[in-house]
Amino acid sequence: MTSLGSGAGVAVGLYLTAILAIGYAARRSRASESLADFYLAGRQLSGPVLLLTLYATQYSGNSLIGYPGEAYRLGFSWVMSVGFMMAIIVAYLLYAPQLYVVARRHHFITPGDWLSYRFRSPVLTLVANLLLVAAIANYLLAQLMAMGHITAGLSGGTVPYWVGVVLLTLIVLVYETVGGMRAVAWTDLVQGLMLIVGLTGLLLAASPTPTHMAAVTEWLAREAPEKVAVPGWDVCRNWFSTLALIGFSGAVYPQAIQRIYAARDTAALRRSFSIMIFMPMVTTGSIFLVGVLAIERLRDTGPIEGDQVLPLLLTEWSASSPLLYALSLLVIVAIVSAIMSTADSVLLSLSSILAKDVLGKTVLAGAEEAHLTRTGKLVSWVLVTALVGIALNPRITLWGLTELKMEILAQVAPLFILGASWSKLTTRAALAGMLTGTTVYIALLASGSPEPWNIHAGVVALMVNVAVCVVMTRLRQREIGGTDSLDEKLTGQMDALKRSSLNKSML
Amino acid sequence: MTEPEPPDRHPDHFPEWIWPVYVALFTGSVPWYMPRDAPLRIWFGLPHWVVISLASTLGVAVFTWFVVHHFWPPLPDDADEDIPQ
Repeated sequence: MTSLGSGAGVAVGLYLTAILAIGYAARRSRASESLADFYLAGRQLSGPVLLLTLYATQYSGNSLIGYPGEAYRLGFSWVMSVGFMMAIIVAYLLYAPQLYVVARRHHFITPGDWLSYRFRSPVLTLVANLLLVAAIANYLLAQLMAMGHITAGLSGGTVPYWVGVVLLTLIVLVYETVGGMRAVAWTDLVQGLMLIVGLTGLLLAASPTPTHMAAVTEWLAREAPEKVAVPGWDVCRNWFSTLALIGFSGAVYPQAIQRIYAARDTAALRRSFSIMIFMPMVTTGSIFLVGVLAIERLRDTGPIEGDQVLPLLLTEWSASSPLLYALSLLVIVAIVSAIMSTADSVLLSLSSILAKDVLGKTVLAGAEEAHLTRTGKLVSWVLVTALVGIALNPRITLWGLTELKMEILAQVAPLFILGASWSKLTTRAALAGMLTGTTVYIALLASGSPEPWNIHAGVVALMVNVAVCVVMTRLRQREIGGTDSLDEKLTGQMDALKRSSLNKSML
Repeated sequence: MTEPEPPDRHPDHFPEWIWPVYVALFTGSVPWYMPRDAPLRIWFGLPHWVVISLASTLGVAVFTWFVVHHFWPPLPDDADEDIPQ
């Protein structure tokens, strides 16, 4: 490594060794070869582990590399990133408490288990799983690309992009294969802590004091006034659209849903949500400030790609003083942590969906859990090999990949959010909504309108999706002769019957 | 396709009044209501509209903390039972 010297190589090397050791320790703690043990750590994630694994998983390589680039490009309006990361936690509240109870009672492993249980339609579950796989495979691809960018960027090209992609991916594969969710959660614990330490380093290095910030803001007002001015209605529309897109989509990441399943109890879930809600203020808030400061700091660098902003800043800081050099090393380890912690969680989720929901219900139907677990591990290796091949020829930026993934996920979001909170939602309506939404999204993209009226095509499609769900469900209610009040009455009677049968069984 | 029976329903959601509060807080975090040509005012080193947006977002966080601690839906007695693997 030339830009940051051998220190960066040593710091990252030590970190990677520690991560592999944790993965091995997790393997020794496994209780069985069951799917629940491998994919959900035996449903025993405590509050602190759950918090840090949710945190490390939610903040990816894109948060640390892509977001400073967006702040650099857009200026102060990128403050929206704090709000949209918070919107994810708020969207969890729409369905997580209900989902946790049902998942616990019926031993869910994958998001598809909820879909099969709630809608009882193999077609709906298959289509939703395909969309989930497409979206998170895209996400995993973004992490693999980030691995290459960070290695090449920080070493000044000495370590090529492809070495970063292959080496870091291999390490993730090894510890995930040996330890499953337990290894992923334990490494996330370290990775989450590294992320917090690295962000502190980033803030100290950037030193955004009010005086410094005021000087930069005034400089920006002179040199690039559009990056300081109150955003126009067109930007505000896009801001609202991003809040909806990231909020609803981020809340239904399969890896996040599986962490809800893996919570030891409701107290753990509650505690982690109540702290997670503050994390965007310190995480994306800090990154936003650093990205804005970079506009002034890198003014003489010439035109640069958004993904290169943070590597350039780190290279510049590290040459300034020994203290900044040390802080830069912390940030580098934090970036590698953020990328790997997201990649491992996504990979584990993909592996579970493909092994249990796809192969387990077709060619491996009736297979023992240990066999499905082994198959899941094999699937991880095959899948990652294919994605590494794509990552070695990237044709899109990290933020571009994020938006694509989110817009696909948005079409699945009603199955979880409406499905859990609206008992009247029918299977036909949910399936029609998802198919219509996906078709609208693809049609808008194909017609060259990825953001009609500055609103994401995925959000337009989501509105259509929800409208179809509501209209078809209401029509169905009319068909069966029920009005709202009658329907409520019937639902109430059903609840009373269930309570009564529960009481009888308890007696 | 036959419609399935409604699955186990867990009727105790968060109280409905919290959602308009969220809508108001998120709407306040987007500076759509500020004049585009407003003169630049710097608060804590940042443009004033950024500070207002961040304050509104902090409001979302504080409100969520309150909601999670006071209104998390009560769970059925068997929800937290240990599950045999």
